[in-house]
Amino acid sequence: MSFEIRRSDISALALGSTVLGCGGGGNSYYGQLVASRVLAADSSVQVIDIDEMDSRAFAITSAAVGAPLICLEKPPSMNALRVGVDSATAKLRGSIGAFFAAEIGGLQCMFPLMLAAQTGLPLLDGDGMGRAFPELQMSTFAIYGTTPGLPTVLSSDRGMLFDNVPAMLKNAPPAASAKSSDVQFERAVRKICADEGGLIYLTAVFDQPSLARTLVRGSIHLALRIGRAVESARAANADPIAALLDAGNGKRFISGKIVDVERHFRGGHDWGEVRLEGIDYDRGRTAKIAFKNEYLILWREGEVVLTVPDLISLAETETGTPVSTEILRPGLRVTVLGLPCSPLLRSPEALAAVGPRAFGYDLPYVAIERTS
Amino acid sequence: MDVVAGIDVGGTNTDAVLVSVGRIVAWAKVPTTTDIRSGIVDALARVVGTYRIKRVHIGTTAFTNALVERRELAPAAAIRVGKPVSESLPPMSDWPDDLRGVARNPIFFVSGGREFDGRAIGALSRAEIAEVARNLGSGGVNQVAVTSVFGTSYPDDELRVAEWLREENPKLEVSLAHRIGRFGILERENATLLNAMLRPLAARTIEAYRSAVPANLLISQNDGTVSHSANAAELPIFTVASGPTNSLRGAALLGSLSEAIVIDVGGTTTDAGSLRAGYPQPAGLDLNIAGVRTNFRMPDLSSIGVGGGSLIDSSTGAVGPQSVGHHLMEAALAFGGSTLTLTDIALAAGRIDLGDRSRVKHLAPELIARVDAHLRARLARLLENYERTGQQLPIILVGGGAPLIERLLLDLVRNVVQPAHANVANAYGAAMAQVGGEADLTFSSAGISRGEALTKAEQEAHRRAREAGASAGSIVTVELEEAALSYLAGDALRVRARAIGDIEDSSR
Repeated sequence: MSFEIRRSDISALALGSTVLGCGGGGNSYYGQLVASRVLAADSSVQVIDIDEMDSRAFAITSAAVGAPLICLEKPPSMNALRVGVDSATAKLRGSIGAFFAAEIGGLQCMFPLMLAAQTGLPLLDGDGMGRAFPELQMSTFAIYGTTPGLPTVLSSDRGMLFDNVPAMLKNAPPAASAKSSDVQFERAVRKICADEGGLIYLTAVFDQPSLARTLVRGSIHLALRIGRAVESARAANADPIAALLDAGNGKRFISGKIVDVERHFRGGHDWGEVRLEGIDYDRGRTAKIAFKNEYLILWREGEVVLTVPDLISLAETETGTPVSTEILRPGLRVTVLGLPCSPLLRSPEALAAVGPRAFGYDLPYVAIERTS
Repeated sequence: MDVVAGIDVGGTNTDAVLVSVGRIVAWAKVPTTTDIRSGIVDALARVVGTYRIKRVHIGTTAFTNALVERRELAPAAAIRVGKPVSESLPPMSDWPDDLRGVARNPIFFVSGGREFDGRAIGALSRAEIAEVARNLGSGGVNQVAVTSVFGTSYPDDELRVAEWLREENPKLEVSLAHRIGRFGILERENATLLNAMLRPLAARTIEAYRSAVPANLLISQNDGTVSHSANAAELPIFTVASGPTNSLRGAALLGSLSEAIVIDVGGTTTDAGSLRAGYPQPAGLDLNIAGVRTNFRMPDLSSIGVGGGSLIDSSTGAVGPQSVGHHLMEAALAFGGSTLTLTDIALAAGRIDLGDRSRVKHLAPELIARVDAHLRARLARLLENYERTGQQLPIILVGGGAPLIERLLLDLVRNVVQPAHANVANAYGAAMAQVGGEADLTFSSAGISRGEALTKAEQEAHRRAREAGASAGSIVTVELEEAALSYLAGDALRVRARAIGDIEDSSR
């Protein structure tokens, strides 16, 4: 079912997508501002279901690759996005039916929105994760064998970098311990990224039937619904956390304050643990969450109660504002929330790529529906 | 005797204290005057006696008010260094329309700027800067805010642009983003632009303060330190959040506690904040000044609607949030009114001696018990916000309504300190301030070890503290934190350091 996104909806989409970002996915504030500049006040972006797209047409995704913190000095670049799209479409035999997000969580969903606003093409209601993950091969497209798609292009503020990434990879020496071509792809792209100042844009083209098979559907709508619920609750002086949970079909695990944050940086990722002590109704209880850019595992009273790929998200208890791993600090008063992940992330092959063991935790995945 | 004067120019009152070796030797409260200056002169005249004032520290809301009321703001040019990076997010992208309309700030994008690892994005061009300067000259704009991509780590480009601008046009006054804001280009630029817009007003205001005081003038800063007046006239934006900071600092020092919860009980609300190492614990979220987002931090405060004027629901014992506010002296039962307030309950319970006790003697002990139970629960909840693992922090209780809740806090088995002079905590906080410096740097791990990065940030913070007037032997590091730029093939580090020290009185 299709619907519209107007300029006045962008803040709600950003809030909801940050909740789905599970603490990662980058700060969407600058993305939100750029999107608001591109989407004219009297205009709107049409959001459609993948089934509403012509089965012979192609869809384009544009994503940032690099350190989310760098976006705070080098904000989203419309020029880089346009160069990527123009180059990808120039070589394409067929028409473009829509833009879509590779990752709903955080900043990434803003890029296809900007392009849809600028070109007048629709945005697909869906993405490749239904949340945020730290690596490119953790998308449903990679898990179910649809990456890299047709023309894949890398660009930056400076313009075009590579207009044919698969060919570029063929010429590159394979990484010594590469487990798969996806891992090799991930590594090659990150190398280019560091050389280019830590932030580049990747544009990839997918055919409609592949997307119909692998897209996590409805995630734009879900993000918007969560964001609107929190905004309305705030305006009505109602409980924003209750509204968030209701809109996202989520569960509340503990409300408390952060008492300790431990971080270490390995392999370009931000690993760590955050500890909470319950306050108010949860007085006397404790919780711990492990993160690698995103929140991965939640323990309550020392017992595992929720794991990746289900969504673990933190929100400021008073305002419902999502709390990213970057801003974790002792003293913050937060509520820990869980939301169910897409069924596409619960298959054996998906759990091998994005379950607790894929992140180095020797734990089984227990679906949120079975925890309390 | 040599003393330091602390002055808090508030919306209603101008408070002055004289402090000798940490002790308040005199204080006064006078109404704030429209011209500000005569209120300061009056307050000082009441306290000075035979004391010799060696320094005057002033906490002011003048610049915050100018921003909120959108008046006396100068037009300021925004120069963004790093073209083509950041062009999709031009200066003032998130400003409210009314402020943008008042400001009419011209915008320029120029070449230069750095990557996170220090490599140039583009080369600075003298010709480009000369053209900007000519353009500003013909438009009559004298204030300039220069913001460079990754400028907090690599300030050279901003410094060079400032030098060229002044050479082209000596009338230009340049505010540099790396001296003002932190990582995050838009918020840093926002603060820098607001600073530039305030500078002519700041120069006039601080000159007026200087003519009103008999000694070296220093101005209160957001972080609880003070800055020499010449410096403050160039960096007025650093004063906008100094009010709550001075109150918390003053409470900490009056209560002689560096780890504590401060509770300030007023007529309508009770505000709480906490102290770590004697300074307010900052809030997690960015500070919005007059509708503009900056990356400054405010102290982490929470409020509940409980105060001396709070209305009492006589059936449930619920307190507030409605309050009779400044009508307490007419509306409350104790003062001949007909409204049941928290002050009446406290009088009936024998906790205060204020008003006519016979007018509250009908209040049943059961009602008082219900109100107490309600308040104890609310206060316990408020305190929970600041408690730490395995530690019960003492409470510093200040504000006019302190006696109303002291008994209840003691019921919660809390260690409560009610210092003398709590009514001038803000001015005392200003008087006792030290000076400080801060650095927020980014390093590529290729060129530097983690230990070296931390040392460099610390050294830069110490250098800036010395520049701000700290005596060399007294400087200590109060904050040192790191964050990684994740997702990069090679790790990059962001390090932030803050240092403070005692004011060197011989310096000027």
